[in-house]
Amino acid sequence: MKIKKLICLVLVTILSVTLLATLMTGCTTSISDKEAFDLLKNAIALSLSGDKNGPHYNPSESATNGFIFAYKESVRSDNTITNTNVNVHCEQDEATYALKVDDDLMVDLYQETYGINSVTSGAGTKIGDFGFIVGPYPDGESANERLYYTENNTDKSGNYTDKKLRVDMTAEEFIDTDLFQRYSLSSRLEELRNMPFDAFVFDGEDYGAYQQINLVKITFGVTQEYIDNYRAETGKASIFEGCTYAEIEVTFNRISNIYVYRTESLGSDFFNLPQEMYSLQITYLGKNISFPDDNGGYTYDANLLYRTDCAFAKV
Amino acid sequence: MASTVKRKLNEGILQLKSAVSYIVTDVTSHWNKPGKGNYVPYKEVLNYSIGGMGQNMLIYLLGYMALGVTNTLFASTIGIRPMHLQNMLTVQTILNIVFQIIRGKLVDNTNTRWGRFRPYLAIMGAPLAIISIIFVFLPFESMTYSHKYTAVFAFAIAISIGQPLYQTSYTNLGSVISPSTAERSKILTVSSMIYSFAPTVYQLFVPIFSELTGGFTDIRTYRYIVVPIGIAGVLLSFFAFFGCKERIVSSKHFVQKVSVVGGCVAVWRNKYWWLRTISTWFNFLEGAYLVLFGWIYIYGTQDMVTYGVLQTVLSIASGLSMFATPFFLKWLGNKGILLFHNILNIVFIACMLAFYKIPLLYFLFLWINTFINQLQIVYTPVLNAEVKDSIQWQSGKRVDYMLEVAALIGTPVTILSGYFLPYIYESFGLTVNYDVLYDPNVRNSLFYMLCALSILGAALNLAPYLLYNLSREKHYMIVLALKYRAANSDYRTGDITPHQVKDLVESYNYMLSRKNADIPDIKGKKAEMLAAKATYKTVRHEYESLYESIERATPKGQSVVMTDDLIALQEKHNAAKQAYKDARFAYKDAQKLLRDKDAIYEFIIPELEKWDDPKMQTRLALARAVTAIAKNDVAHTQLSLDGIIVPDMTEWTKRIAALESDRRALTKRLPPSQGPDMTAWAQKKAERMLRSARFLIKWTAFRYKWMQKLAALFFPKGLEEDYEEAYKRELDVRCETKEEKRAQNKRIRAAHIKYNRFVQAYKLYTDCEQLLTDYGDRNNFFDHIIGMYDESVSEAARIDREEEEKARAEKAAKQAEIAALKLERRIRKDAKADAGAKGVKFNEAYLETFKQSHAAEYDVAATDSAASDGNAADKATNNTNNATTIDSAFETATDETATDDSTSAGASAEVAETAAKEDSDNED
Repeated sequence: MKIKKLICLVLVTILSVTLLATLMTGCTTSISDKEAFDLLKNAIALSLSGDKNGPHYNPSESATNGFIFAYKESVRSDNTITNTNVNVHCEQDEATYALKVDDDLMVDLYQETYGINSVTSGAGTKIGDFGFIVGPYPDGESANERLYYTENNTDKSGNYTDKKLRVDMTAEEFIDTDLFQRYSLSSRLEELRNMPFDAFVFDGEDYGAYQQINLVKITFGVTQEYIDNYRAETGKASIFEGCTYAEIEVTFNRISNIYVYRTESLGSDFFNLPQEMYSLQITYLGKNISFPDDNGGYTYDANLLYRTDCAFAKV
Repeated sequence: MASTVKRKLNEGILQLKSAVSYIVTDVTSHWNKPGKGNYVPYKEVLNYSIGGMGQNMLIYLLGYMALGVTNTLFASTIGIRPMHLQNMLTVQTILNIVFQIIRGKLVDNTNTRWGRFRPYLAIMGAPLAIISIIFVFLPFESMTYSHKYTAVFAFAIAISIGQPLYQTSYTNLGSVISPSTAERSKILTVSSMIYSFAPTVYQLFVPIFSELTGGFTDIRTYRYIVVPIGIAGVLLSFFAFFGCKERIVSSKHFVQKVSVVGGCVAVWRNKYWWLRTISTWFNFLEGAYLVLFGWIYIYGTQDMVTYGVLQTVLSIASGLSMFATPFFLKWLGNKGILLFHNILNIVFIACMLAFYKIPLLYFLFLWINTFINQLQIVYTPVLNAEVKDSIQWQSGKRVDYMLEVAALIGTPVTILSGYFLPYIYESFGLTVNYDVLYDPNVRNSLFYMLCALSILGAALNLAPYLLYNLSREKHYMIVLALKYRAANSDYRTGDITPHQVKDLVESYNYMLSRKNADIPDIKGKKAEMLAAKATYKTVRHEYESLYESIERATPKGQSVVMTDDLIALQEKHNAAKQAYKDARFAYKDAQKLLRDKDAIYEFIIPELEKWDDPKMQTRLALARAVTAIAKNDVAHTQLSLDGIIVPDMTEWTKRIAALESDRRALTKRLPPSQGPDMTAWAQKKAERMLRSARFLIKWTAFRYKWMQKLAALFFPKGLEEDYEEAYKRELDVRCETKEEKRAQNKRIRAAHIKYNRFVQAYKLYTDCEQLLTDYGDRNNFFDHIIGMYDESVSEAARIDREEEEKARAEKAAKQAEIAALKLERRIRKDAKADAGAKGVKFNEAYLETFKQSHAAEYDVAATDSAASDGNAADKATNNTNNATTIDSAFETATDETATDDSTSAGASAEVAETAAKEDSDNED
């Protein structure tokens, strides 16, 4: 009897150790540069398949989950750090987790900028922000009345105006505006979508790509030639300008994270850490947006659709 | 019928009122001064409990700073990668080994006028809270990942250094708040009931309020909801510092040293410890599902109100489980409860996997699984204690704290296995951005994987316990062997007690009766039981059929007439039922007998024959050789081991072959003579023992040389005194003033250093002395103790009677004291009312006059009240003698009232004061 138990124990242990070892080592496989590039392009296409204004719009994907996304972007320059949060959200069915793209669609857009006091402390002072929440107001409104809501706005001199605007506009309509298009997912993946294979540098220490079950991690450098050309062609700086290396994570075949690093000193040679210049974290279904229930202080003006700092065109 | 119910109800209400009145009076009268025989007043108990609330609240805040991949603040809110969190945890685990030693040294050497533990409660709380507050208010919004990573690492490490000091200080304060074990356990029970109120409240309300600040993934929740709880916790924990005392009786806490290496080796040689430890190594997998409940509500339904309520409901499972564990343990036995727990884990995690899309059903299975899991809170210490006994039997060393130190051997395993879950998280896209969990695709995939891993973990957790066979019967025999050793030793020192003799001889006789009993025919017993069961079923069927047929024939409203046939069948039914019960008992007893016999072969026979084994004889020869040299001559005398050889093993080999053959026969339920031939097995064992004994000779020679070096180094002038005695003596010195205490601390430290050096240097010598002493004591039980049995039984009975009477008298005195106090309060109240009615100012003089003028009235009332209280208490405790005792005690307490009416209430007060003074003296 004891021998049987011992055998049973040994078998279970061997099985589990094998299983764990397989999971931890066997499932991480490196992939070639070309494969990584193709995979990246496919991931971008799939990520943008729900954007009806984008180049990869795919109605069937959009019907399931492509339309709904949230991202957090952080852009760091020498003097400022700008965080942008965009959440295009709709209610989901709790039992089946199926999305309900209907009247409950809401959009939250918020951007804040900090002035950085020093590289080492990282601490900053807020120097500007603005935000929008668009969607059906929770109560007391007629079914077709929509709100366009802004809060904590700062004017050009940096003073808070705390203006609250109210406009007849649905979330879908807001998504179609030029203002939102500047913050769409397509706009964020635009540069990466158009990058040629030659712009990527995969030869280098710790560069390359590997797949770990549902995650593909691609680490690469970017050629200076590409960065120069990009500036010349678009008149804008590439997000990779000045970078040492970049990392892209693809999860479940869609882009989930983009990080661009540069190595900088934190005050002594000992602390030469890679610093994030740029990061973009994408989720394909965001958090519930709760509409602020403060009903006071609105200025209702259907024609007031222009803000000096947003260049917001009338729909 | 109705009148009986009414009467019983009235009696119950009376008893309840009496009990409540007793408790209220006891608490109010002993609010500032402890009751007779106790050390801690109720005020201090309340302070300790409120301090516990505070400690709980601060730990709640600090819990969010604990490194781990499931940490919501670090991972979801701040965005640290799971793998990076695991890296930090690895560093922290390694650093913690060093800090653990430093903390231990610090606490062991703390001896302030506030005590050993209270200072850490006072000085650690605020810094920990401040560090946490600074951390959550850092500008994470404008920090890069590297800065966040550095900040998390620095703050988490800083907190982990100080937190154990703060956390264990409160627990340790509880262990020294009273020198009385009974009082201490009562205080801990009451205080845990009070302070558990705090987590119940904040676990309910924090999730609800977090809706206002954006939930647990928003830093504002920690800044504005969790932090205030921590600050309140710091303030409340001062109640324990200012309002409690440490009551250490130093010499009783003195424990002879067990070296770290020696203790660890003793632990590592124990199979049961290994099985339990290996099982815990898989906890990381089994616990993978724990995050899912939070994820469902934080990322799935995003309904924090329900989450808060369900968390509170979940905490009830723990309480119920702790209450139920003793019953499960009794019902299932040691191995049974381990298997029960782990098998049900597998079942319920599988149910969670199946129903995770229905949050409330998922919660139901989670609740049941939590209930099952929490059984281990109670049974783990019980089983650990049994393992400790097993280690003591095996090695002769009592290890308590060393279990945790020995468990450090698993540190590499826990560090490595800790990386597994982060790997899985990352593989499913959970790298930095926990918001991906809002996406059902990601969340559901992870759910499946984590649940599956939990099931695998639970199965792996279960596997080692298939080999765990430390049954109750084995533990009983281990304890018997230990009692036998202790009695041999106590007989020599004269410390043996009549109870000890009675208990040991009776246990020994029971063991002999089991050993000499014939091997039961288990199959036969089982067949008998099944036959008895079948008979019982048939007879019951016949009886019920007949009863039903008669019942059908009986007109409605009339009772069934018991015919002769029915009566005969009823008797037959009862007899069959009894026969079945007896057969079942006989079957179970036969199984137990086999287990008993097996345990006797494993533990008792080796214990009684251990001095005959060749290795032990070699050890004895070595010990004699070492102790032949005087301690002071060790440094310059060489040890000669030339004459020491391992004795011939032939006879011993035959003996163990025969014993093992008998044991194997037993497991196959055969008579001893029919066991397999175990000669080859015994010869292999003998060869191993021979090698081991030869190594022992060489090892002793090496240790002797080492002893020589250390003796020359530490004691160049030789040994000047008995260092152990000197250290104990210094510990027992009592100091009154701060200066005396300071000077005494210095002396204790000096004595401790010398004693440590002695233990270090002369370890071999003292081991040898101990071995020879044990050898000299080996036959005390058979030569002397058995002969003391009859005398000890009567002596033990006398002591029991005396203690019972003493306890009864103490209880009566306490109740009389309370009755007297109640009377005093009543008189004061009446006197105040009287003064108010007359428009006179109430003062002590008025009270005295009032007492004198109403002496006769209160004399009667006092007697009535005492009798009433006494009778109620008597009923409540089912003690038939109490009423008389209470009456008489009360009469004694108010004796002066009977002789002099004019001082009736004053006498009561005096009694109370005297009692209080006695208490105070006791405390002093």
